[in-house]
Amino acid sequence: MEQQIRRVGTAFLLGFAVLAFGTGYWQVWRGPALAAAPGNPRVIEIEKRTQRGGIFDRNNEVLVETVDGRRTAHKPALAHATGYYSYRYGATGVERAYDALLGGRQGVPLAQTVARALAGAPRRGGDVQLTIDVKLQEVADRAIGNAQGAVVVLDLETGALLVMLSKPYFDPTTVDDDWSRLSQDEGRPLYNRASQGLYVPGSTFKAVTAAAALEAGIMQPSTQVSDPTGEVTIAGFRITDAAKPPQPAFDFAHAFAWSSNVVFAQVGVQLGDARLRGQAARFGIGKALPFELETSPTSLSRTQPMPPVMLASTAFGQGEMLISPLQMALVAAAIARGGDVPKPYVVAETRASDGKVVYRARPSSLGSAMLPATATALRTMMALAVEEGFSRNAAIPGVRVGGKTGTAQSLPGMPDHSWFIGFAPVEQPRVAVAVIVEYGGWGSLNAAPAARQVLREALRSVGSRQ
Amino acid sequence: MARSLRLTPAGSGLRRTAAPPAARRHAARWRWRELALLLAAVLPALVGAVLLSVVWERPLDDTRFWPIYGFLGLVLASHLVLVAARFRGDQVLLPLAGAIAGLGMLLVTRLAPALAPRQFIWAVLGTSLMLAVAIGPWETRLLERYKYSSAAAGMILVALTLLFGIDPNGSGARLWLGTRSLAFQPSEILKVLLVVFLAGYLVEKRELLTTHLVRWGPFRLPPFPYLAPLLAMWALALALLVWQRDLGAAILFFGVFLVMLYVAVGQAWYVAAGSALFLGGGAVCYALFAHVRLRVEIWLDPWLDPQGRSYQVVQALYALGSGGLLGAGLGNGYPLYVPAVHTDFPFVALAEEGGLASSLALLLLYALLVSRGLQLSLRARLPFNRLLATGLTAVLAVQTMVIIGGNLKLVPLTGVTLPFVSYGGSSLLANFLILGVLLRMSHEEAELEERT
Repeated sequence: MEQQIRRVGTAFLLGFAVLAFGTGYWQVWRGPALAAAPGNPRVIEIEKRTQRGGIFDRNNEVLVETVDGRRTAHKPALAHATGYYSYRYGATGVERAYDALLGGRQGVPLAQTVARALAGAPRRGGDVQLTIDVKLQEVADRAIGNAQGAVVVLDLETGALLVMLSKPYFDPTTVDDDWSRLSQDEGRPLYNRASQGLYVPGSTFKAVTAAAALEAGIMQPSTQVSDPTGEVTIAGFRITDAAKPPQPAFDFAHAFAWSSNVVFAQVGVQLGDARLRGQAARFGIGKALPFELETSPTSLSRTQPMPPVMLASTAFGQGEMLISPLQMALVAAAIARGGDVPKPYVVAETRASDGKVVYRARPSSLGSAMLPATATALRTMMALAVEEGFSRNAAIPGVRVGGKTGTAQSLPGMPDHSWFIGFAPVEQPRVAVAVIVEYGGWGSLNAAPAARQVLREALRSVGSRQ
Repeated sequence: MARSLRLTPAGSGLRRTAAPPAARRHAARWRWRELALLLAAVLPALVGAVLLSVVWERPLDDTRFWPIYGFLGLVLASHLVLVAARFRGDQVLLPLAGAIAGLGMLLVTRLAPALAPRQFIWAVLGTSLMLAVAIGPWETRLLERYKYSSAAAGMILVALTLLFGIDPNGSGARLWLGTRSLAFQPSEILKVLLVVFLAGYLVEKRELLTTHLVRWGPFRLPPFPYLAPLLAMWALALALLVWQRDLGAAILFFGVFLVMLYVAVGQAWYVAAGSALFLGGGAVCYALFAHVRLRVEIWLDPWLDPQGRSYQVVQALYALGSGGLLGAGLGNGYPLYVPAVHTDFPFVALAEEGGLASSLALLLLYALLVSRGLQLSLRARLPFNRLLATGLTAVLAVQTMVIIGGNLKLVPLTGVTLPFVSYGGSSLLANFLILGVLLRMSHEEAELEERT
């Protein structure tokens, strides 16, 4: 009997050991996943009890904060940068990318963790400061007017975004109430056109083709080219200029300024798939850009390698290209920075709830897209485009602006999309810009004047900072 | 060795145990060890009350916390009664059970404050019963005489429940007797009666069960008349499962039965055969009855219907997972998302708010209580007492494992209570009764030891 009782005891203790391991399995091994599972009602309960951190602009103006338990966004023009935060529909933008910090699950000071564990003090989240300048964002907003589109402005010294505007925008504060309207709206207000919108870049892409041609040695700015008729046939396909250049023969710089499709089509064929694709890739085209917020992968063409006709149309900015405004801003930025492609960022720093800085952005580079000499040549060509070419509407009195307009085909029967990329001042560029106005028609008509207003204000803003 | 003891005329020594003059040799018998352990045992519940008062922003003397203080006082008072009665039994059982039940009182207060006063009243009745059994003028071995009366009483209880059972809280099983306002769960009393019967029966028949084997095909089995009551046990367990839909009680009774059979007869073979029979019966029930099938399906994959039939199980897993190592802090978690948490899932509530640290601590307390119970049974000299102590301890152990195992999805979820912790009067009463018998037995052994 004694032996049996001892064995029963051993069996019971083994049983309790199994229970202990079972508890450990659920509480520790599976714990984090279960604690954060979407069906777990604690997720929302804890969110509701958390004093979520704020989002600020570069001058510490409050963009989003929690007022009486309600997440309140003060600047709807920044809706796509800050994103929305909803118990029902999740989060986007910075609210999503920095959810752990804002929600007090990350970078929490030890003293607060202890207070929370002992006294159940509610969680307090940290703050996020953006690189965006609200004043400038609002200027861009007004410049676009009622149109749909996007504006990106980069600080060339760092790669920080001063403006990231996507229109139409929405009010993040009322996203729960407006959801059915917002999600069904054909203008797609919830979608961040600046970093995720994919467009055909039109003639702004000629900056990339020109970079490839200069790098390859096919062209110099002074190389003589001709476009007497405004049209050329490549592999049986007729290519025409949007506007015939004012003279039959000119140099390559003017072919860029006057946006000669005929010249660029032939340059594209001469370059071939590998060289054009290689150049585009050095600007970042062909994948999703590294960025704090979501970016869509861009692409030069689905067809690979491109046949001559497609090479020709890609070279002057049509074809199968899908490129985001952020990416085109980087093209302008690389040219302005002597070939160096800056790594774009929109978060300047994050701070714990006690104000201590958790993270501060450090400017960095995505690599070099071209030789400094090429960049210098392109800078001159883009200045020429604004001064003598079709991008004249971007000119600012007293400041030399470099830029390139673009007109991209949109849906059949609808006006074209209007593009502009550029930088200023030409001598020592401080800011780069990319503007797209959907269905805005000619690039010079809509995007360029909007870019001018934004550039002028941006120069004033970065100038005042020094 | 036990056998030789049983054969000696147990008379004189034991009879003197109850004789008052021998026990009154000392004026008072302090139980310092018990007191020291008790002071440590009341701490968790006391600290818990302080935490709750901070989180709930109620003063410490708020009526809400009275049941906790009351219970801790009750445990200390029990100690004093034992001292006054010159009780000589074990000094560890009461602190262990007190610590567990203190946590239970704290959890009931946390999870269902309105029910805590009721639970406290049951605790008063429970500890009174425990003390009466522990120091009353009787002897444990006398219970052996009532083995068949126990069996008969148990059968009557089962029959009454089958006929007049009610389901006061809508659990889907009619497992209670009485009225809606005052109901008790017969299975709680049944488990004690069962152990008494089995201990008596097995002590009487164990030689027959081991020696008079006849050949039945490839097996060597005891003759049928001796086997019949055991088969009846099996039938009873399955009947509970099918008619009363009480899987928990079925597993508990059959598990305790197998443990006692093994200890009495000493053949693991019986345990294996018995388990196989039970599993086989279970499999047949699975095929035949939808409610058994549902239980098992929920157990195997609760994620199939997390908003419907397996809501409770899934919510319990969320609670467990949210606890982590140190827990959300008492009063700071959300255990009330688990339906019936105060009766079926108090372990999960503790795990969420106290973390792995607390749930392991509670498991350790149960393991210590169970080992202490088995140690007492090892010290017992009479085979009946041994079996009784083993059986009663097995009730606590198996019940704890069945319900916590169900909480942790290791076994199908059942409705048995977590001893000393779950809200429920019958359960508390029965568990304190078990504790009383164990204490009584240790007292008798101590007296006997002193004499020999």
